Amino acid sequence: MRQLLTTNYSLRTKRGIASLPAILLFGSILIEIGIAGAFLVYYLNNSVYGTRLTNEAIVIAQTGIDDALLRIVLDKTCPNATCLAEYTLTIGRGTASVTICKDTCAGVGKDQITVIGRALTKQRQLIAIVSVDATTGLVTVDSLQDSAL
Amino acid sequence: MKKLGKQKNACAPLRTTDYGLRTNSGQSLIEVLIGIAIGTIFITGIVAILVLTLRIGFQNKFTQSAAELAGGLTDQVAVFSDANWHNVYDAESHDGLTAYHLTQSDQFFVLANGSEAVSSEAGTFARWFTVSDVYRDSTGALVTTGGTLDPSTIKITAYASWTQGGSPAQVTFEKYLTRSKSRIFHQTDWSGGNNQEGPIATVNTRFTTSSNVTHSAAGSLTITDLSVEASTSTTSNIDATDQWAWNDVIGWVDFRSTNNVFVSSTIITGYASSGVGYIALDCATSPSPNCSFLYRVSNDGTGTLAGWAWNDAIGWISFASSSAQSTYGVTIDESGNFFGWAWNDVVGWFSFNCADTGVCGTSSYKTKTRWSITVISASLISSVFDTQVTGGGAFNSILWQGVKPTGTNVKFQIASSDNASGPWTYVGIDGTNSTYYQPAGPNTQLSISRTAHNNDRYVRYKVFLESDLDKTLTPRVDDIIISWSP
Repeated sequence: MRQLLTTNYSLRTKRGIASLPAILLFGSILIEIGIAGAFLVYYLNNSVYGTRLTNEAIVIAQTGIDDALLRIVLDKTCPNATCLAEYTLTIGRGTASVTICKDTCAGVGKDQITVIGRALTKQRQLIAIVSVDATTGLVTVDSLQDSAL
Repeated sequence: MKKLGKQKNACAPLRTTDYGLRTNSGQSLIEVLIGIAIGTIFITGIVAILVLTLRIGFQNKFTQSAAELAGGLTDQVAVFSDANWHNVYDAESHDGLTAYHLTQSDQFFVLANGSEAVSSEAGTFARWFTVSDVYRDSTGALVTTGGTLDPSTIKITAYASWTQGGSPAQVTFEKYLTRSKSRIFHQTDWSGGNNQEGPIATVNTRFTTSSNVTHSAAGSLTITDLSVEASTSTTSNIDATDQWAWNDVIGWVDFRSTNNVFVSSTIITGYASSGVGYIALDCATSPSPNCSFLYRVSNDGTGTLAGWAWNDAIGWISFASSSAQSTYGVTIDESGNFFGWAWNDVVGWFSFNCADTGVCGTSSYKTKTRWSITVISASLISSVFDTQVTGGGAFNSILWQGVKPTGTNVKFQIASSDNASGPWTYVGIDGTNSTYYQPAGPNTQLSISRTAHNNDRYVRYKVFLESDLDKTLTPRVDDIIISWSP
């Protein structure tokens, strides 16, 4: 009888304790689902926003290429004392870091324009090779490529 | 406890069990209540997260679509402008506010006012772009305030907007478009001669008019009768007729007969002949060169002479007063005529022009040199060059190739027009006809004022060649290149 009472008491005690862990377990699962969902949303958001920023970075880099081209068209000896070899353009909420390398990066008679377009956390790099006629200053774009950073 | 104690003997296990059941039942209820409360909190949180997730997902869907639409519009506008700069540049307003969109007509885009409605999987968007002028500072950097208008760059801002939950939202893309395509008018030969007005789309060997220019068969321009190379001879540049100065004691002084008196921008070299022997004008080029005592007759570049000459019989001859009591001197005017007086302590005044003594007509003498403060000029006007661009082009720079001896100059004026027959107003760097484009030398690109000639279809140049002041040297122009963009 003592054993039975002890057993009954023990059973009842266990039944009472069992419901709280069950709720906590259930709650934990819910929390984990919530956290997982939050992470999912974060990464999804990051992915979507990142894609947009990447597109912006490319557009900004293209602007940098165009600007450098105009400078070379106006001055075939660029870069020089009045035409900077490295400069930064601010475009919207991004920047384009432009580097003009003459004769040494892509060969004699060629300028290499390297532009890193940045839009917040994303950045893309475009590299253009242009031929510049030493006599006439005629500028011809040989290539334009999206290059990995 | 008392009651429990009394019942203990009668049915102790049952009582104990009863007590236990009641006690445990109470705890379960609390647990259930706590559980329900915690569960409610969890579920509320989860629901909130799910709602937020769905909302963000929905917003992302819109934003992603809008970004693609705005980015796509940016690309389309760039392509449209690349095909013809005027497609976008000629938009009525560059205020950054007026909305434009692109429509398709036949096979390509057409610029239209206002925004367009674009449907996608996410919903319906309004899409448009604006055009803004761009300003640059003196270093070429883009600036938002101040600076100079750059007509070869415009700023495009593309918008895609939508309404979500009653609230408006939009995505924007910015891009700068530049007129950076490179074309040239390159004239390297003028041997075909004049009387070609044009317009011509392809540069040839002819031009419209010239003055005092030799356009040799080798395809170069020089000033007639002058040399590119400095002469190594000491041939005099004193006039063959007007070569005399006068002194009341020793008579005529002849600056030509020795054939070595040479007037330059800085000095007179050689020696003159007189009744008392040679008069040395420069110690280094005297009949017996000896510069142990350095003397010379100098020229300040504007024709005002100074310094000393030497004669073995009469000594020093001063060409400019060094005291306040006596103001005399010798000058050369813009035609090369000498005027004024020199002084010698033994024989007195030397007169260089009869006009100073008032005896012209009775004795018309003077000293004259080819050198003067003016130079010999020559000019040539090109044919009319046709860019063949409806709406006109942008003229970027001008440069020339050739040889520029010290003291000579090559400069340009540019005329442009929308009309093949002009009018032609030749202007320089400030847009007036009193200034020039004057590169520092050959192979030096000089920017053309793009605001003065922007979007004119026809262009021509007027090149000026100037000798040195000694009038012995000429620049040689082998190539003239105008860089422009369609």
